[in-house]
Amino acid sequence: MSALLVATDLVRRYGALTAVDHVGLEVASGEVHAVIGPNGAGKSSLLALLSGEVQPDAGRIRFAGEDVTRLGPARRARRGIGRAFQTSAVLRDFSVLQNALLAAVAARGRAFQVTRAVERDPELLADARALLARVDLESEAGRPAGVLAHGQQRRLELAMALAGSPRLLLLDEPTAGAGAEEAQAMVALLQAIRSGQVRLGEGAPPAIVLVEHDLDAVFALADRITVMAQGRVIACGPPGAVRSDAAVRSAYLGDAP
Amino acid sequence: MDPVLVLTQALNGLQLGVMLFLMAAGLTLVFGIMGLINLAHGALYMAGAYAMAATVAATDSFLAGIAAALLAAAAVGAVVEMAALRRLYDRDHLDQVLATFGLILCFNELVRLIWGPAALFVTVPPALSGTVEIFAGVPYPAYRLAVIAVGIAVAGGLYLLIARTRLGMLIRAGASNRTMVAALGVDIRLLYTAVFALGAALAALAGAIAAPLLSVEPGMGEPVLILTLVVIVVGGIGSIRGAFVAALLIGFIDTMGRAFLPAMLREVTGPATAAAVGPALASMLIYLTMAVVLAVRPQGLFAARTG
Amino acid sequence: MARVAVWAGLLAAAILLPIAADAVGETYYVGLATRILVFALAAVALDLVLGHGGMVSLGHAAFLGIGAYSVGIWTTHGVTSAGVHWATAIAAGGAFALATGLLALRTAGVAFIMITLAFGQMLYFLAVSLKGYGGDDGLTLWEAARLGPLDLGHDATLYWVSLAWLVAALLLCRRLVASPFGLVLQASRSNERRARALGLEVGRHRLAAYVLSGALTSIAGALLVHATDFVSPAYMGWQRSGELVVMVILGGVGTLAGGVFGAAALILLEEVLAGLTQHWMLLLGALLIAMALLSRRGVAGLLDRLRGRA
Repeated sequence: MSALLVATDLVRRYGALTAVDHVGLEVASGEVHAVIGPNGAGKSSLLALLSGEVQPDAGRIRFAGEDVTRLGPARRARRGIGRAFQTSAVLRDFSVLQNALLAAVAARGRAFQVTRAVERDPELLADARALLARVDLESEAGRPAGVLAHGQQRRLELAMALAGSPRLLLLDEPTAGAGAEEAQAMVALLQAIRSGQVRLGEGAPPAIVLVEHDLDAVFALADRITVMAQGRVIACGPPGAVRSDAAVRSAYLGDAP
Repeated sequence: MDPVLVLTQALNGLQLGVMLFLMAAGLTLVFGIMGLINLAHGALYMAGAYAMAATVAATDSFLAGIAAALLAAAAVGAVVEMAALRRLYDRDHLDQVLATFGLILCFNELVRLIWGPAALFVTVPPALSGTVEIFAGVPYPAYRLAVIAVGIAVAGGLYLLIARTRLGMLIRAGASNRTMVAALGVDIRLLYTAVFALGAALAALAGAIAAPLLSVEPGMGEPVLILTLVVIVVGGIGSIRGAFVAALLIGFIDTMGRAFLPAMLREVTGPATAAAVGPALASMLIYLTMAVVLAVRPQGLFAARTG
Repeated sequence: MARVAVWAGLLAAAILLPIAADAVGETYYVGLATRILVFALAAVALDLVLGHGGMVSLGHAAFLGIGAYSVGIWTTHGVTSAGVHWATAIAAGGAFALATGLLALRTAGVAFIMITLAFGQMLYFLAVSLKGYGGDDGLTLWEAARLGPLDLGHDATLYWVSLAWLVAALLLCRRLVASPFGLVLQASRSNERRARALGLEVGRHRLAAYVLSGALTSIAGALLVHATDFVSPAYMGWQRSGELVVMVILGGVGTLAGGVFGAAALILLEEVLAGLTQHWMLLLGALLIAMALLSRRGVAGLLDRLRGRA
């Protein structure tokens, strides 16, 4: 079993609602694995379980051979699970550069350093600027992140998630709220990340778990697709197989826009 | 230990507990539903006590005093809510702290301006001035017993209000989902004002019935407020049930600790240490209780489901 | 560089103040200025956790009290070395911050406010029950503290010592805030979820900042007693905690140096209002309510607006 991430029998309940109902998921190194499904299918809850923000009521999660089920989000992040959120989660009152610096501080494990000002540290500054260059935001470095256009915020967040050279990247609807052009740009950026054209450090391109509504983006990016409905997995396979799966068509694709 | 004394102190603890519940119910509702931390809740307690003292002095009627306290505090609460606090529901907690801290200063000084800095006293009504033998040979002040009865009756009434009425349904819904309540076509602002006024009236009731037991003076609300905050933290912020259980728990622990801890300590450590440490430890006991609860269940004993 | 010049000018003026006051015979103002410096120290320390870590502590007066009783208790036993007083204040304040911080930081937001307030009150009652050290009535100290050859009973000397502490604390906090540690601390205030997803355990940063803040505030408490030669539980009354928060807000949350102006503003305001009417608290309360409702950016925000930057 050489899978990077193996989640088995995950269950998460909220009161009477079972948001994630015995879900299993395997992600191989370097693979782009899309999770799709109608609203309320449990996709975001699944992502929160994988990132460690939410603890499962049952099931196990192994990452790179280690059981991470009981680890919190910060520890999982340090083991190589990067995360970008659905609603843009940049630090709005920080400048763009400070956002990137924060990611650089985290990536270099210098969170407790007190000896030198961040903005005078050549190493951190170089990291941060390189990070911004990867996503074409160098010219915005001095602006507060909160005033950036939506697409720019998403790119900044993606850059921050990449800073630690994660082996697995969890992306929650990267094209949500974007215009057609912005969405295309995001897909292109993700393709570049996946092919290793855009990366930081020497590591191989990360595997990606992608929760996404935009099916064009999904079919353009995904190696495999897991389809969820009402908290369960109803299909899993390569895009072609999923596209023709009868259960998927009735549950989801049939009433997709 | 003298069983009569234990029983008497247990009742005192119960009496403090129900008073704390009256305070905590309003405060925790206001936080649970409107997301407001109202440090001026103690000032409403004080308002109740002063309305009581002034009315009793003028009319000699205890019941008129209670009625005046309830009406005055509900009115003051509603006015303050409409004039100031409703603008703070969606602001960060720092704004709320600042505004309600300012309110405390205003209320305390207003009271000083109107009634002067000296304490007022309210006498127990004649009908309740004696003692009652709860068990043979165990006399207990009738007034304190009445306070316990009123407290439990109000707790029961509050339970029925929340569990059985339309207002209660809205309160429960409002705590978990504001937009849903708005979608029901309810004027949410009116609902908030009503909840705030209800909380104010409960605090004033606590102040009014406490008035004969302690001195009525400026600043009397804040020690009670802090006790109430301990109750809310222990019970779980936003949870009425938690507030009830925690209020009784804190009432018991505080009363019993002060009454018996020094004596118990004397058995263990000898009189000298006990005399020095006993009272200190007794007065810290409820805070230590809070610390233990936080260590074990940071969300409180009954965590409300509201985020 | 213009900023550096302004700060240097302010510092020079502050250093010269006792000499000027002495020259015109208005030594009362040295005491008042010392009071401002000491509360400024506490406000700067509070702003480290409140403004940068997003922790609204409503129990910081407890640390003033810890510092105050460190001086009071040692002095009663004949130890007048300010070094010993301060070391005790730092150790005890830091320890109390560590113990209560570990518990209070298991929660956040409104619970944190309530819990810090409650722990502050706990210490208040502890002080009241210290019958050996004055209990409720407090304790007057008959012997001034000494720092090596310096007599802290001398008003100007204590003023300069307080000024030195304030400057040191400001420099320390500024440096900390600018460091990677400080960036992470501020990130925990701004967006904790994002910070965690980057692998940052923000809880430890919060706790470390809280402990440092507690220790610095305890120093302020010690200096306060050096100035007044009197210790009482009133130092740690919850109103005092509220006043510290107001100072931070007045000066501008998250600006550190703003705490100095906030402390000056509140203390001078109290002096002025108290001269107008004995019911000045009413005016102060109304002012705070208005500030909360209208704008909270304090003196700093006001200055910005006057300069047309707001």
